[in-house]
Amino acid sequence: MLFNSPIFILAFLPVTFLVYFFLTRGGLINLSKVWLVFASLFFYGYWNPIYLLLIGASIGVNFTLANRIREAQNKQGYLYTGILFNLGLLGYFKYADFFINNVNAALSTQIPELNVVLPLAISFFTFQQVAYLVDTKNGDCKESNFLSYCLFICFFPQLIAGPIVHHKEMMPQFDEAGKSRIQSRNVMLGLMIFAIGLFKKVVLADALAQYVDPVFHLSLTQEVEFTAAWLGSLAYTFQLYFDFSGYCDMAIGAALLFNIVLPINFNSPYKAVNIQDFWRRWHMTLSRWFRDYVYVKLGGNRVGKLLTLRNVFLTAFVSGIWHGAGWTFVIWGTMHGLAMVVHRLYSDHLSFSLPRWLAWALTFLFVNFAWVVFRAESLTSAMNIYTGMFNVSGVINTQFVEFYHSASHLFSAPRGFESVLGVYWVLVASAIAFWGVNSLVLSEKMAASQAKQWLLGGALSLLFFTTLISLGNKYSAFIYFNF
Amino acid sequence: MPSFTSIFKVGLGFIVGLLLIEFVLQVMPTATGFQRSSEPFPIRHWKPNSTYQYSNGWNFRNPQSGNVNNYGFVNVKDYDSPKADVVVIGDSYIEAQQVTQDMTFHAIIEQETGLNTYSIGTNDSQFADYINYLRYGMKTFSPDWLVIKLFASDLQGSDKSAMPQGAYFEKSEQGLSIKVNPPRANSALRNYIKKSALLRYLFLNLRLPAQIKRLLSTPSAPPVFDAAQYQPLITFFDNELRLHNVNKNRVIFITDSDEVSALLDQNQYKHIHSGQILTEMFEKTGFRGNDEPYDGHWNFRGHHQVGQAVSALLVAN
Repeated sequence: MLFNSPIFILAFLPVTFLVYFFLTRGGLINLSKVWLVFASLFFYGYWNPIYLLLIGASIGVNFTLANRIREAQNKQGYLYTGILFNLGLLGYFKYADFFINNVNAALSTQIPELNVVLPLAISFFTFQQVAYLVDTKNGDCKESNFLSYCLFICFFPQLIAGPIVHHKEMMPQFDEAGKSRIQSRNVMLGLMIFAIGLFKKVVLADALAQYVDPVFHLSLTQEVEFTAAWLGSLAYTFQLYFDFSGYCDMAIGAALLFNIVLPINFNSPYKAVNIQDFWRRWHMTLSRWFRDYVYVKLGGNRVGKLLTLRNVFLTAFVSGIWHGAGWTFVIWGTMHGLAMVVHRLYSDHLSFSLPRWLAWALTFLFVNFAWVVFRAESLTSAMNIYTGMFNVSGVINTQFVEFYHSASHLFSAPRGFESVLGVYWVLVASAIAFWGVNSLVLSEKMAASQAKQWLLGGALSLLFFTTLISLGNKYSAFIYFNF
Repeated sequence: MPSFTSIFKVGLGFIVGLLLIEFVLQVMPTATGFQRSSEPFPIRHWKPNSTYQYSNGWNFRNPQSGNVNNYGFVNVKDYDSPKADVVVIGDSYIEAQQVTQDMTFHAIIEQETGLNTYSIGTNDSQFADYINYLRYGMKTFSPDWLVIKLFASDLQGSDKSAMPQGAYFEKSEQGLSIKVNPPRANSALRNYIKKSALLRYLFLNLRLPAQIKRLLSTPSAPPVFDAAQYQPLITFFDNELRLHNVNKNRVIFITDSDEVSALLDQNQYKHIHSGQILTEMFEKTGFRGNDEPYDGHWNFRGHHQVGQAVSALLVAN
């Protein structure tokens, strides 16, 4: 089920909310948790019920292992078993065919592909459970209640694409005094943030998508012209931004309705002034996971300089592969890994700093450049766009027109990007991403304002309107659902 | 429990928010649809000398504006002469809101051939309507040529019409006949509602009723086109031509399917296959002739190609 689908907004969310607080109000706390788990599994299974077995098995095994870790002398052994189980699951569902393809290519073998369909959210709930096992081993998770554990993994606002949360930052909230009642401030904030997120997804991201897809489709077979290449890449850069930012807002907003505060996951990343800053703002809980469970475990910066650089590179590289099985993701991870290394060398060894605007521009251009290979369906496709981006001669013949009043110009628009409206969308999106106020800050300001009820009414009208647009539009899945 | 004042303020904020959206939509190119005419007129048409704004989807794709002429048909020019060289008959493809009015295929025909070309047609018309338009067109403009859009759907939907003044075929013991729905009085409420850009946006841009219907219905396979089933309609059309002393060599059909092409071939009608033309264009240039998946109507390239193909047939004959 998608956050931006009418069934979620008009049926699932209100029903889940009302039944949950009906149960908590009657003091039926455990039953309310059962209800949330049931609703969350319904939310998950709505896509494909068969994968309920997978998430169920994953929860069962991890919960059992966590209990063993708590009780056993040999904690390390159970922890490694758990990590191996989780990575094995992820490896099979996400990377098996990629591995087979490469073995076939390298060794000229004919091993048949498994054609495994990637189960929704597997990358997210697997990482969350790995974190739980490590935290349990470190003594940070004392609770061993199966129902709470199920809720921790399944809670629908964060189940599909994060934020990746720690047990200690979410679960105690369900038992806090006062959280069993509807809190008008949280409902207000939650609805505002949800409405802003829905607007970002439905109005901005989906508008940009229609200018991205033709360019990348064209690039599968031929080189793209200079203007179309740049506009296509910029449109994707902002599409991904508003798609993921919109998702995060909707997840945080939906959780807040249940009085649960999820960690911030997105903090205006295109305002970053270096690549490290970017990763501290983009998918913050994933970056935190990689920092805590990869970078630190590899030794972090407590080892020699060369090894620190290796750790920096590997962390970014693994993050790239986590996003998908394909050489495009390998290259994307490598690009970011190298950029992190260069940034580390620069900040450690050079005494001058770039003007802020230049640092920002270089960071943004690099991120935009790297997103091309992230989006491309093949390396050839990415190369066709990169070649177009550097083919300055192509700019001369490009015409930004949608309609020419003369038949002789019928075929003169830049192929793949023939609508001038796309340029406007890119400009609007960039203005919001570069100079706009963060939605969480905006919502906090609105909630603290004297006119908060008025503003809530305004946010509700925005929610109402955007829901109608969603109803009248062919709503699309969030990009991060693919990871 | 929230106080009454809080609820009142939230409600008022909601209304102010909607008013703001209404204001923004008034400024944006929200679709207007056409204005209905309340004057007596023999066939479906719009309010003469009015204007319209077209845009498609929630994000106002392809904004176009244009005129309804002195006869109440969507055309860039008024029909000042009582004699037309060519009369083009059809539905929304003829209205062609999706393109600027001097780039419709009938405008292209006029530009390419120099023939005085009029168009008759309103959206949601089908083959029975076309015959009704033909009767009116022959009587009023006495054209030398008839160009008629005839897709498979025009034949398949020709036995029913929900439109005021919409025509439909009725089968009885006496044979096939054309019935026409009575005109409907212009609703003041409808006109009032149409002033709201928000409502127009919901109905015309988002097409919410259709979307909701689509959500609630289970998808079914498209009906199979059985050419033999529609032969009586073509025979009926032959008779109409005879009644109006029109030589069938002076009729050109524009079709979209092999089945309708075959049916027209059997009946020795000239025709062009727009589906083939657009496919060839796409294969040759990479440009589409329509705006799929957002709008299946021809875009300006599609109109241009079809207009050229019809012109070539007219010039050759």
